Amino acid sequence: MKVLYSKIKELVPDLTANPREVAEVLTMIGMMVDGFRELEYMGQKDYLLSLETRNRVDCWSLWGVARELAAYYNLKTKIPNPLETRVAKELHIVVGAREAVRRIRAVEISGLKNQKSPQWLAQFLAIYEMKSLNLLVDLSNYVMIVTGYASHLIDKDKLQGNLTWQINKQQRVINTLDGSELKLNNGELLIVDDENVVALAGLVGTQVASISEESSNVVLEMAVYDSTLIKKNSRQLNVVTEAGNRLAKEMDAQSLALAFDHLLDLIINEAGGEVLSQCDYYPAPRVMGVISFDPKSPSRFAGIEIGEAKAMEILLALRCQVVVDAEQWLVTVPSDRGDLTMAEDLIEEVIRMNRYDSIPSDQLPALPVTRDLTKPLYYLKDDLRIILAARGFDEVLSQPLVDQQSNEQANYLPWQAIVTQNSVNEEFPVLRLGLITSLVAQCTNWLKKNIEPVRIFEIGKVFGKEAGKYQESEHLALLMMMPTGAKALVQLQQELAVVMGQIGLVDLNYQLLKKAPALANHHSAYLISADGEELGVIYKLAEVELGMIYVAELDLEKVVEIVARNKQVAVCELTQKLVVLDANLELASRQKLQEKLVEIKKEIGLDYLWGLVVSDVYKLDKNYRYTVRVSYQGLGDQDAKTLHDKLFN
Amino acid sequence: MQEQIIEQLKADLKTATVELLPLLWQKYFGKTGLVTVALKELNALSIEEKRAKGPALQAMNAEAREIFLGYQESLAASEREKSLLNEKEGLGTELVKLGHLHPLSVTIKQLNDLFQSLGFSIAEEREIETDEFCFQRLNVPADHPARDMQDTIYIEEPNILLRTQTSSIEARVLAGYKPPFKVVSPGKAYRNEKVNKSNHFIFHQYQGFVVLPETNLKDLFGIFTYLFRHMYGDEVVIRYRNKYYPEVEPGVGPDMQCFNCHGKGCAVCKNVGWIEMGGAGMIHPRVLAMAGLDPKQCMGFAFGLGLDRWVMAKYKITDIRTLLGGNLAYKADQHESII
Repeated sequence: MKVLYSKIKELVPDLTANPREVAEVLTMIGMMVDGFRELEYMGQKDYLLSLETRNRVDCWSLWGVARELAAYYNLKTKIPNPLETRVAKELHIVVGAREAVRRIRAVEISGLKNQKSPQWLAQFLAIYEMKSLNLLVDLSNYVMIVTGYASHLIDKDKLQGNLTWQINKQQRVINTLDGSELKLNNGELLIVDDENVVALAGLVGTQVASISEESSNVVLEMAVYDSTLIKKNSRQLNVVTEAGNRLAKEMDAQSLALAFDHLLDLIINEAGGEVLSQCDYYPAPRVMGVISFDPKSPSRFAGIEIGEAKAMEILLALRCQVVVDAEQWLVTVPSDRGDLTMAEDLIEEVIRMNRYDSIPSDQLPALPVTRDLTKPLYYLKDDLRIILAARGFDEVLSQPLVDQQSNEQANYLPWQAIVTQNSVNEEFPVLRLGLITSLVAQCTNWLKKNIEPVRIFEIGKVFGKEAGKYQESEHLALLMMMPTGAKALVQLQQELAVVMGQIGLVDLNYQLLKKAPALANHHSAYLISADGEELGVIYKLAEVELGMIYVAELDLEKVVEIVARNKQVAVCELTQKLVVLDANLELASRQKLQEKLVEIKKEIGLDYLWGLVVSDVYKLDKNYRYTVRVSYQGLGDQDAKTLHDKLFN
Repeated sequence: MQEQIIEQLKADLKTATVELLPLLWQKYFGKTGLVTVALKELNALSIEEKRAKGPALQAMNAEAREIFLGYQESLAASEREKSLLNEKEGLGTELVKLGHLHPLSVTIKQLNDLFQSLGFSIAEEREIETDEFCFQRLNVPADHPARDMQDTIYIEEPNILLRTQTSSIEARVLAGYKPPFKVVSPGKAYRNEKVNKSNHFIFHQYQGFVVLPETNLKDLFGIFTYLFRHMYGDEVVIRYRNKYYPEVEPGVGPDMQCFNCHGKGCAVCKNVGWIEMGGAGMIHPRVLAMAGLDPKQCMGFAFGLGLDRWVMAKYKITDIRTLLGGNLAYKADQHESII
């Protein structure tokens, strides 16, 4: 909302604050001034303030802003209070769409002398970036800025029969006032006469009965509609107008009468004419509820003392009616303050008018101790970042919305990709199933820019759908780039082992991936598992043009679960030397070996097992011979040998 | 005789190697060695002769051993030096690859560390949200004007969406835990905006909320000022003004005095002297009630900050796409402390 300082002065005559002070006060009490411009209006220096009014539809008007300032400074406003126009003859209108209409006031005026607007009006509208058309239309626009209420003037001589408010039930095209064609579908609120559409109600008029300088007999209507319907019509038809912006908010139907009579007064005064008939369709007049208010509550919420006298002064200045009833006050708010419905709304009113800068802000509060709700996954991720950086990996972040191809190339999860329905970025329609493609893209970009060596990681969420349910999980991905010809998959495997070991996950198992992602060299692609759960993948990229790229990705949510259920304790008090014994195992595969080792570890038990490593592998005809070296602790030579023989023979 | 032995020993040692030393030892000090034999000859002499010749022979024995052992020691030292020389290693000049954290992670970590030092928990939550937790439970019903402010990316319109604000974490925690609690929650949020240099459909927020039997705006302002002084220094000037947000009441707009013009007005602050730093306020009683809490029994405050602009200003990044794209890089020999 833009506010001309001189107009505010007219509405609050006793206001002495200069424009800068007014801007500061409006900002502090809830309407941030984000624009301040010096200009000239009617030959005088003036100021235009741009306000952010957000939920305060009453302040989308000079009257509303003037009331705020008057309340803050506890001054009186000089808002016009015209006599309601009373003529006996009823203007006949038909309201078919009763659910959509809150109130309509309309009059028929004849004998008007429409003409060009006077300078004060044309200049005023120019400040608001509105083109001056003719006196009647300009007055309608002027009153919209002053009061907040949009109105509509219709050339009576061009009308065919009565005006009807109805919901559109057919596809049709209308020509709006600005000359553009608008295709209507179904469900729009229309104003029609017996033959034509006169207006898309609340949004824009048509050319059917538009006002020209020749118009002398007019129907003036001002209405408040169901704001949701106006908003819906505006969005669906992409029609954005000043009127529509206002009527898409919950405007006060009660206060419409004052705005209407003010406009009518101006029209009669400026263009002459005689009111022939009128109507006021207002089936359910607004009744303001009474809010029970504890006068001590502003102090409680603010954390400083705000006396009852001050609270009362503020509420009265805000035009509330207050009845003191024991410890509670019964407060009735003015009808144009539909945003005030509960005690907390009034608490805010009192505190904001008392200004937030009356509350000390430089004291760190001693808040009570509360329990820690932080989940282990957070600490895990925090630690991983530090560990990975210490291992020489740079962190990168990428966007979770990606293109379809990226997802397909690197996916190894049994999840379906999640597609967004309405993203305006058509090139990124799906949520990522993994992080590896983003790392590869990052690597490629760095190489193009001569940045080497590339060792990067990302921790972030991946998304998918499984069995009809939306899944999301926190993943870690690593990328290590090596010169062409390098064979460094085992190097990445070792990095992974070190990093995971630091957070308490040992015994990572690897087996060749049955179905490797398209990006991978499928001969060098392995599934990573631990404690019987599949955690992720490690592989070499098939593409070698840039160099040898090695990647790994792990599900951290699974990692944190395994770490939690398999707490590792490495510290022990060593009282005798270790007994180290070798044994051979002939097994069909690495997988079988891993299963066997798990079994052996269980049988030895943590009390006697120091360590177990595979020291040699030898390929036999059908099987492999693995040499396993077991270090026993807490056992003498003979006991260790007995146990060893029992396990391996 | 004794002098001859000493001279002969010296002559032998001149050409001796480590390998020859044991043989020389035998030659002089073995059972039939020259020194041993000379000493043994004393046994055949009378007491008077022993008294006359004995001291000289003993002195010769001591001198010979000292010469031998001295030489052996110097030879060992010389050999060790040769060995060390053979094993010598120099220092390299190759640059060590340092790892770096993303500036968003660094900033979030600094904030998390600060709030954890104040006893706050850290909460993270799902990014695919329901309409209920992203809007309704935050007092933003279907037709509320606040929905005009944010265009939502839908997965299944109207109920499944990508969260538009990290306030949804507040709704989840309120629904899942019994107060009292003090929580901060960093995270991504999504808006349906075209990507360009200044706008992105993903941005990062830092949310905080506290629910206690009693708290107030003074507590909120105190926490916020502490936060900003921590991040920007004690000279920072903060103001708190009334601002509408549906999930809080009273609502607060915290502004920082423009660091560029110090409040006078410039291009950085769009000529208003202040820079908006997020939103805050007392948690709306409807938000508490929708979580099954009695607003008469507990109160809370909440705040939210946008991190992207903050990080961009700190690291002099001019294109918002850099934060989540390929153009962010780290100087190999520079390192910001991450601990």
